[in-house]
Amino acid sequence: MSHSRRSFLTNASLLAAGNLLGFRPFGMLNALAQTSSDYKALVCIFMFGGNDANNMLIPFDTTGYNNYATIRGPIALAQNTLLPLTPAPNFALHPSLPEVQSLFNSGNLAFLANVGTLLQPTTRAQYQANSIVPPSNLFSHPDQQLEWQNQLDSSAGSTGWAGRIADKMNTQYNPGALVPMIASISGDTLFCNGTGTSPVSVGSGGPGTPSCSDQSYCSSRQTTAQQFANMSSGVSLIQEDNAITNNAFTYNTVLAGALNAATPLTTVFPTTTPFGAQLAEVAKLINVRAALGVKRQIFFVGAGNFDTHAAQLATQATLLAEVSPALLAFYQALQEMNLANQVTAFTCSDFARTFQPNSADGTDHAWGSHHIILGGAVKGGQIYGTFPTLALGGPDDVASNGRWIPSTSSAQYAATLAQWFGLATTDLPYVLPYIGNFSSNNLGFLG
Amino acid sequence: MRRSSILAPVIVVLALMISSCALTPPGSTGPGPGAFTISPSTANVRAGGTQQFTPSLTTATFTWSVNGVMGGTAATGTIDATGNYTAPSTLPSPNTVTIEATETTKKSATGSSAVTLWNPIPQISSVSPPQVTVGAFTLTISGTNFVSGATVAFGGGTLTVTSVSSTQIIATGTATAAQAGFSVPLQVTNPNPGSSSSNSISAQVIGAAAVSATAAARFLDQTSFGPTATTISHVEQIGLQAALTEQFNQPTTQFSEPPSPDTAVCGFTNWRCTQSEFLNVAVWGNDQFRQRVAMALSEIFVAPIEQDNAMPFYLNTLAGDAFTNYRTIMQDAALSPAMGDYLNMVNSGKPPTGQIANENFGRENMQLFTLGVNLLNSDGSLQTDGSGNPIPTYTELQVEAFARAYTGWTFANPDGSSPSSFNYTHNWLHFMVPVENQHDTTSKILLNGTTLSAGQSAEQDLKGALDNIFAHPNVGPFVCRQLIQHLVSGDPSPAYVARVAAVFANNGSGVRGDMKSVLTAIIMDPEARAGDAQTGDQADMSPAVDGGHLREPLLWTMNLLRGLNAAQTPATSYLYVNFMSGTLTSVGEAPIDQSSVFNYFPPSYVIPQTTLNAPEFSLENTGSVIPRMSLADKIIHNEDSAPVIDLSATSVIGQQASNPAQLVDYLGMLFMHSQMPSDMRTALIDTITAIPATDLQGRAEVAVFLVVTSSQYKIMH
Repeated sequence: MSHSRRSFLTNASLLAAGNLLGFRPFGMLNALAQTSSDYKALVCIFMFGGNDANNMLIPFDTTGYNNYATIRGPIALAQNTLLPLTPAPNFALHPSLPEVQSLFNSGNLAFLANVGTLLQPTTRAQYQANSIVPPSNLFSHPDQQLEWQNQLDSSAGSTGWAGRIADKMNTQYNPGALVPMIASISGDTLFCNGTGTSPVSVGSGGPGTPSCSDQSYCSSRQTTAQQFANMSSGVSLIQEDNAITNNAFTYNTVLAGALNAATPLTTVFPTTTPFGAQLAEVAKLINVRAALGVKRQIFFVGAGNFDTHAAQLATQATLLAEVSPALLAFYQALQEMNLANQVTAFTCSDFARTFQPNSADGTDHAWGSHHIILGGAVKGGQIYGTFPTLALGGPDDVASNGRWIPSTSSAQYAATLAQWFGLATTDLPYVLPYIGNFSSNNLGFLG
Repeated sequence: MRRSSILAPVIVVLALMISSCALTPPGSTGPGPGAFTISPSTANVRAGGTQQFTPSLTTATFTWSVNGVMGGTAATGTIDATGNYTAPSTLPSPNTVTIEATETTKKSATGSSAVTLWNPIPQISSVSPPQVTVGAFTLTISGTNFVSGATVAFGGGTLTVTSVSSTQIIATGTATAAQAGFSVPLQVTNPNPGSSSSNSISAQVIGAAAVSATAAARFLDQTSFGPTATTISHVEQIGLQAALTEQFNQPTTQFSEPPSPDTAVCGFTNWRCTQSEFLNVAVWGNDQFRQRVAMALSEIFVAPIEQDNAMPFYLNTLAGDAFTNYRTIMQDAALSPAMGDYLNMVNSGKPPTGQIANENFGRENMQLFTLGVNLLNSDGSLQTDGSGNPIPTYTELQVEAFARAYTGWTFANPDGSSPSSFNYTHNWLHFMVPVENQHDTTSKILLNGTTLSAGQSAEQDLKGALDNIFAHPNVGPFVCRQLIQHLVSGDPSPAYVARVAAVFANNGSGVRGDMKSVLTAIIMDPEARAGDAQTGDQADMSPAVDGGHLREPLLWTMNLLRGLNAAQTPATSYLYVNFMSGTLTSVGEAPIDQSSVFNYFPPSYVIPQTTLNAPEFSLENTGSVIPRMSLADKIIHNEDSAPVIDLSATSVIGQQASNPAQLVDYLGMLFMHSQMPSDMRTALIDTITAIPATDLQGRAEVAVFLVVTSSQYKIMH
């Protein structure tokens, strides 16, 4: 069993930082790190449950819309409620996405159509004839969530593609950093775990040290707690929990110190929703990048409850209305930090949902979906990829319920993001083992 | 006497004629002028008891006598002018008397009744001493109505009665080792005539320990919401198997229906009141194992409905079913209104043209509750195809078939009956009911080629579908492995899973899915018990099994409150709404609050950069460790709305703080199975010793904090 989770702690300065009383003065770190303007960040926004993208990005021309409305029946959105896309007039957006509409129209946001887990290019004929290897356990939430995150042939793979990016880039870009390259604001996720690197997890309430009502004993209490966390045990789980505890002491002290010393951002986030609060926390952490000594960062945030098997219209409208204003606020915060061109946010989700509705005015698990890419570096106002033929039993359908076979692989999506982030092309196969099966490793939406 | 004995049969004959010959003209064969009867004509009356006698004539006045003596005597009992007889306190010999009524104006007109006097019902008020040791003992039983010849039952046997007065019995007997640790019921039985038994009162039998404190505490960590000083001592005495049996026989603590509609007590939804009640049930319920298993089941059959009163019925169903059969649990969960609502089986109708049946329940029922996505070997490991790849358990077409099989169910009417069409008004108090015209009656091809033929009812299809799944060989290993993960170890050996799955397949009596047998197999397995015999340093440095699991935040919180003997309050006062619904979200796990059907954590979670399967670690990261410590700090200092903890200088724990080693060892017994590693023990004693002995509460608080927040405690192993 490996204990490389501890490897980050081999830096002596970090052990010192783990002591509540011993962390380094941040002024010095600021001076060191602020000399570099070479900063980039990726923000993965995971829409858990399977966003029904068939009702997010909708054909708007008469023929296209009528076909959509006929098949979607009771869950078709009325055409006059849709939000038009000026640069892409044949498509329109769900009415809960006005901020996304304006970001697209101003060129700072793009869509990637019909992207999903794939190990190789796949046609309907190949899928139905079983002549290709499909991703394992299609249509299963946890498997497809994990396969989006690990870009491997099954959910059993234990590292994520962001984690593997950190494996390749951390030493070069973040030498002497006080925290890992990757931060999750949405708990432990496979996406963030590398072979030799681990993420830091931050609650959307922000980092902090344990509260203590033991007054004059707090210092000795903490010393003994750290002593316990450094005792070795033959019980593997105690070893692992001690490693997490040690890292927690270290990172929380560093992060809380940096955040407390920073000038707060003035951008107002919609923090009444968990998702808005998470993006607000990401912005705060980006704001203290210099104090943390990082030039490359990857963040993971999540929004939930997209599993709309019933009452699709009302549920998705609420959920997208939480996402859209938070995305705009995040973009504005990046502008406030003069980082709009250096941070790219992108969405992922388990899968899309059946184009054919079910008898509960809902939709069921499907496959290829449409996704959002946001940032100043995005060549926005465009829909990338190939929009599927919206026909039951049509050329993009697995069978007859409108589960689209992706025309673009999530690996290609990831490769485009990773290369913009600075990953060497030669390292792509390590991060995305199946990228070589596809004709392009750069979809061109960033530049 | 002579006269009445002659007349009695005549009176009975006459009475029968009167009562049974309604068609006979009056006077033709009826009683003669002036004859009447007394009701009842015979009676059994206990010593000291009373009996009202009533003549059949209502127009006359009577005088009453007992054995011919007007008004009766103390020895035979007395009777008043209204015919109310009071039996003597001790039985006369013979124990029969005759009650006679004479019409005042016609001395010759009489009626009588034969009374048999019985011994009284004994009543026990106390037993002394209340505890006896294994071996010979003498008990004094105090009470009333004891009579000579009374016997005393003790457990399954009988004591030797050495003296009896009406208020006290002295008896001797022998308590067996098997009775050690139990409250043994005592009962007095008076002899005939009219033999009867008293109320039952218990004597506690104390004997040599059946198992070590370590074994008892480990067992309790696996089968309850955490050991307490009392329960450790109890299990030490009675042993593990007896403790399991005891828990199997505990009735279900019921979650109550919070006041409806939603009240200010609960906040914005009554669901929060049920979250509050979860604390009461977990911390103070007697059915600890049942509720612990129910919690595991609620994390498999995940259906948190955060509105109205949806949860009490669901939680009561799972707890009530915990010791039945897995097939029962499958069906009750499927038809529960909460599950129906959560996974959309309720009001899922046969799809019209252009639509499909809602697949939500059909898919997740197989994926999460019964089978898993891949075929398993009987030891829980993955089967693989010729290329080494996992083999899917079912196809998308089969998901669609099950989805159609489950159509046609709706919320019951308020009285539990079936509506004639889909009912969209929530009814959380009854299982769902079928609406046949909404059921898809086409045939469905299920697993292993089994077909549900066309034309079946909703209920027939549901049972057929669940039978089809239940028979699949994946169910045993898939479910048993998860139960082991919740109760004992996150990464059980394949052999352990196989042993339990074999019991699932057949409990020895040919029954598949028997929960008591499965749970016994899980808890009594050598792999679960291997740590019982180890010292603290052995268990820490060279564990017999390198297993265990992280106490999930909710379980850990309940563990603390039980171990710290939190002050009990009534469940329906809902005092912990803010604590259970709000505060616990800071550590990632409020009860019945999963964010999706995939539970708080996935059973398959592997700690990154290791091969350790440890589901609860999905919640354990650098962002969650600190909040858990902060929560411990708040609970210990009564700074939240949790139940009150007493760590003052005069409390059980505080008192021991004058001796740091004693305090640490007590906490080690309470929280760490008396297996605290010696390096931890030494460091803790040093820290406590440095706190002034004048501040016993401070010592207790710091010591408890450091124990319960340590990884050494958080990992239950």
